[in-house]
Amino acid sequence: MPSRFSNGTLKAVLACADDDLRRRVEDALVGERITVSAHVAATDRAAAALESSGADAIVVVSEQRTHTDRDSQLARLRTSAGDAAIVLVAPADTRRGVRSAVEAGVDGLVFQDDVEERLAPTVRAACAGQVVVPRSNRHELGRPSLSSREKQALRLIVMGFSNKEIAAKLYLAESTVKCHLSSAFAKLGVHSRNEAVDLILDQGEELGLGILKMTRRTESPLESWAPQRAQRAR
Amino acid sequence: MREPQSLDRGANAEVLGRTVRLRDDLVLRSLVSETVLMDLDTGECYRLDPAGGRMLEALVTSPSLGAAAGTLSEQGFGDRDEVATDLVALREMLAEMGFLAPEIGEGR
Repeated sequence: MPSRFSNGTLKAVLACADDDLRRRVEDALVGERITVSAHVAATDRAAAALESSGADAIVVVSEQRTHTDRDSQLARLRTSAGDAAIVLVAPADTRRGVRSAVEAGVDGLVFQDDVEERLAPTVRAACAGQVVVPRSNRHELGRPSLSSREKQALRLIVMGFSNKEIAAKLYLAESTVKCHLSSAFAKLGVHSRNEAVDLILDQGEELGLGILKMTRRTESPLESWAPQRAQRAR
Repeated sequence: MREPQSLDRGANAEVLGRTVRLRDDLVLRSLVSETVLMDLDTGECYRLDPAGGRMLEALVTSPSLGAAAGTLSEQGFGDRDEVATDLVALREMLAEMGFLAPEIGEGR
């Protein structure tokens, strides 16, 4: 017997501040028998709307390009949303941050470009208890296992070293460095040095912090020493 | 290069003549607004502002601590003796943090 989540009528709260996006999302849902029982402009008000409307899901349309604020809001929403599914519609140009959104409590994620095709099936799957993310971002959910050489090579590209310089620093052939970097890029799901650097330096990514560990000024005598000496040179 | 006069005697002269080198697995890199010292094996990064970075870089690339003091003094870091005193303190800090390579002849 099919579950009501597979083809029955569902109700969703929509949190969206942009009118055009709101219309696109509503059209995508209503055509698939998912009614929007309440609409709020701010994510922080979605939980109250959920409680008063008895909806099955909350669809949050986020325009934020930094993950930290977005994920804090989602985590608060997760705490107050009970068993309701939370589906995030994220800007198309934020192709990362899927893992942090899931860790914040999101059950499904759809990029804005894909709303018409994928939002309704994602809401249904999330209501049925599944976690749904775009296939292209599947690699983000598993922490890739990088070898120590791959980590060293990645650390050096973050510091701006060329393959030749990395080879000299690690006492390796340049071709070996290229092999390590190709392998690391594949594991990270990136296609270039710039993408790798962006990912590693992204503070919202736990992965990035696993490769580089920035010390805080208060923890390091070396860093707190420098500003005093610098006064003389200014 | 001439050593700072007031430090150029006894134990201080010995310190000023020392070559200071970072461990081989530490990488020093000057970026636009800061200098980063990174441990290649752990990924730990220490950030210094540009002036602090220049002092560190001079210390670990010059033939001796005294020579580094002279270079920095000529670059406007102030009195050579004061710079040398600061570099001695910096060297001690780096040693305490375990960042320095063994000096040639050390342990004999």
